[in-house]
Amino acid sequence: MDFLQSIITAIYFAFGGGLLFLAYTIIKTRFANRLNRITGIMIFFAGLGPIFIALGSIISPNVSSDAPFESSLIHNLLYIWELFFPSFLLFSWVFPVDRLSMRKFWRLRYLIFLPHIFHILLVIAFRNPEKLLNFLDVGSGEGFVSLILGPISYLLKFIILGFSLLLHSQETLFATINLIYALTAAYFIIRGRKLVANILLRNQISIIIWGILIAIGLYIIAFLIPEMFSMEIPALLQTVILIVALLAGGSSIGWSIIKYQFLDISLIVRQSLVYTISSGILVGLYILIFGQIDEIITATFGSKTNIVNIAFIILALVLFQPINSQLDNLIQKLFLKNRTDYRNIMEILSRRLISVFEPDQIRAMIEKTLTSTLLVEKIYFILFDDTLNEYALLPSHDYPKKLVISRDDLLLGGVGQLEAPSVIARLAEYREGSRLSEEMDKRHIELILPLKDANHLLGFLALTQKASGFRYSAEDITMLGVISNQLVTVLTNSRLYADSLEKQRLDEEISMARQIQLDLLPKCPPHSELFNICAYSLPSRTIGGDFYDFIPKNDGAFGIVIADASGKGMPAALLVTQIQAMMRSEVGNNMEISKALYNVNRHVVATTSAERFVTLFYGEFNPATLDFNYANAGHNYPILVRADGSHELLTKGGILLGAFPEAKYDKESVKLLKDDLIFFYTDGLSEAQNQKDEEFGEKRILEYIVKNRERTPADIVEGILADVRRFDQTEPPRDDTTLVIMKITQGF
Amino acid sequence: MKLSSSEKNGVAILEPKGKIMGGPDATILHDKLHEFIENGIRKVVIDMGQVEWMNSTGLGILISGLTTLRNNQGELKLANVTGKIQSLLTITKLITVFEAFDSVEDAVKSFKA
Repeated sequence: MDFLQSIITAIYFAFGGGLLFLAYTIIKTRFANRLNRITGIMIFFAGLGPIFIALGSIISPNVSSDAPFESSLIHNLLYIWELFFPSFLLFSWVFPVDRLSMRKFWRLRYLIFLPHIFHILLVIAFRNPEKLLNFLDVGSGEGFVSLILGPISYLLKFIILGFSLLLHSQETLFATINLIYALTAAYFIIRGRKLVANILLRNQISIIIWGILIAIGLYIIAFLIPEMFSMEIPALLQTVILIVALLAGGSSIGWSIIKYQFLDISLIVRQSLVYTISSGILVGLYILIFGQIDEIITATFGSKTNIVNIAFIILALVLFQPINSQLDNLIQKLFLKNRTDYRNIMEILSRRLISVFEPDQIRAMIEKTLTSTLLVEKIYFILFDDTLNEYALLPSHDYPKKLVISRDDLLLGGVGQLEAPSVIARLAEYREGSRLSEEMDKRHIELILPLKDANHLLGFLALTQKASGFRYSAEDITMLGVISNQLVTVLTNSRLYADSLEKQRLDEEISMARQIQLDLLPKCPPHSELFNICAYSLPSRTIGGDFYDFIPKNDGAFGIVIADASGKGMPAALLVTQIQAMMRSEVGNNMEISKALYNVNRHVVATTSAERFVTLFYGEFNPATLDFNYANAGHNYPILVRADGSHELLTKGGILLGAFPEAKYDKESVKLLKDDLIFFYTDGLSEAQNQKDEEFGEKRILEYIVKNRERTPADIVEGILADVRRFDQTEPPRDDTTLVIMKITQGF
Repeated sequence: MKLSSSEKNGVAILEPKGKIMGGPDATILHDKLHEFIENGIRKVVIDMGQVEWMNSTGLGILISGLTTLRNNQGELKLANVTGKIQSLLTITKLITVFEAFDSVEDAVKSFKA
């Protein structure tokens, strides 16, 4: 046996052994699965081929020349290998799409093995037809027995001769049969691929299909066609093609298992598969190198020594650990650190989910992860819809309509009881009469992943079976549990994010409302040498329920309004805006004061609820006559301070606006003189409180105004605000504060 | 605000304590008044004696209570109105629509007359 021959033998052994191990692993991992069984059987027979060839090449040199290798028993056993073809055909019926379980006569499938079993028996039984014929000739003597046996023996001889003829042409005949099998199987596999939708499944299928088709194609070219047409092909070329074919077929399946979870073989098994293959390669390398060095040493020193062995053991001891760990890293990097490794999936998923707040994107990401890593066929989302305030089964490709699920739905209640992912079968008691349950059945749901936040059910994910047809393993369910917990966090964050966006939008709206409100206040008060007015308004929040206004009249007089709506913020602001418009409209229509307030009151009663009201003071000042006519609708009494320090309160009028539809408002008239002033204010000023809970109060206001009556209105506003701020330092101020001062500067 | 209630001669007496302000206070009082109306009690006295303070929302609660009862042919009267609340009712001129009495007894008696 020369060097090349020994290398080839080693390679055959390695391939054969590898395939047998692969077959064993596949069958052992999931014996219950038909695809695993059939794939295992196919790979087993494929592995027998190279093993027999290797055995043959070891044995044949020792066989004497008169019994050539071709007729040896081991060579004839080689025909067992041909069972690969029917098992390949069988494989094409279950992969990538299981066609068998749908067929009525699927039990008949094993009939496809008959021709090959017949072939093996034929070859083994008739490998020496001459011997058989001789044996039958013993009976050809005289007498009764031979009379009967004679025709039978002739018949048998005839049959045997027929078989012998068949035997002579068997190689061509079975090469043709095998070719037909292989092409049929290839046809089924290629057709089946088109029926698969899952991307990951398509990947593994593509790799397997290409690997197997290349292998079969090469085999057809190198063996079947030459045998059919009795062509001669150099043995070395044949060997090389065969090795390439084995490499393509075996590694495509191995690669799919390791990289794409083909046959659902678990991580640990896949890992051990990788280690076995790599250590097989190492052992092979050792044998080759050892053999070569040994030969050189033997040739050099003339006798066998143990030195190589010892050296190798020492070397192995020293280098084993580093090589092993390097190999380990390499394997991790090449195969296991990918998207089928659970830790890796979780790591990638959580990194991506952090940056996503859009619920649609979150769902798409989860869907992609589950379909591409766990091979889940379809995923449906049942989530609580904030705008509907109900649970809804969200649209999918196959069911494009969104379905609202009643909160009382029995199955929904059942899902609410779950703490972890569960098969839907466990919720059997929650199914009768449930609409959701019907929908789940329609979609062939297998697994339910509850999404729970504390005790609140956000919804759940409904998963169909895996695209590969495998059940969910305990490992899968654990990971799905982790993913659903993470989804809960992400969904909650997304909601908080949406809320904060909403709040931001509201804040912007409010600041716009504030601007509108500021614009509604008069830019500057009316002014002339006869009088001097100063006004001030500050809402306690961004917008408020106070306002003042000056409304010009046709006769040169003008109206002064100060008002305070109950409550604060947006509701109060909306109410005062309405009142301000009404007042402008009434005064613009020259409505008499009492009538104006009567009308406004009726409007407010009609348009607001009973507990909302406005206190309002309205006065009309005529600079020509210095007459001041007013009506007070429940507002803090404005203070009229005379030049001599005496004062009166402008109390006359009626009840606050907005509560009683029939309320009437009395008008009162006062005559103003030079240096008189009127101080209008809202309760934000009088109800300012110090730390002892004392109010600033009307009394302090009155005292301040009387004392400072000779100052300008602007000075008084500034001064009293400063006093009040000293008294009550609450930030922001407790209430909206508005004040207006009108001072008569010239009298008649 | 804390609210206790009792009944005397078919007149319900409500005793709010503390500050009557917006928010939950409005609901509590509103619900209580509706409970009375449903039980056929339409005469209600609110004892303001222990009310420390009332803001505009609190005032709104009183007004809406009065309106509700009047719409159901009932009446809301006030008792022990003093100080700050007295002045609030005066300024807003609500004193013209609310009957106010010096004591709960007087208020209850007024219903018979």
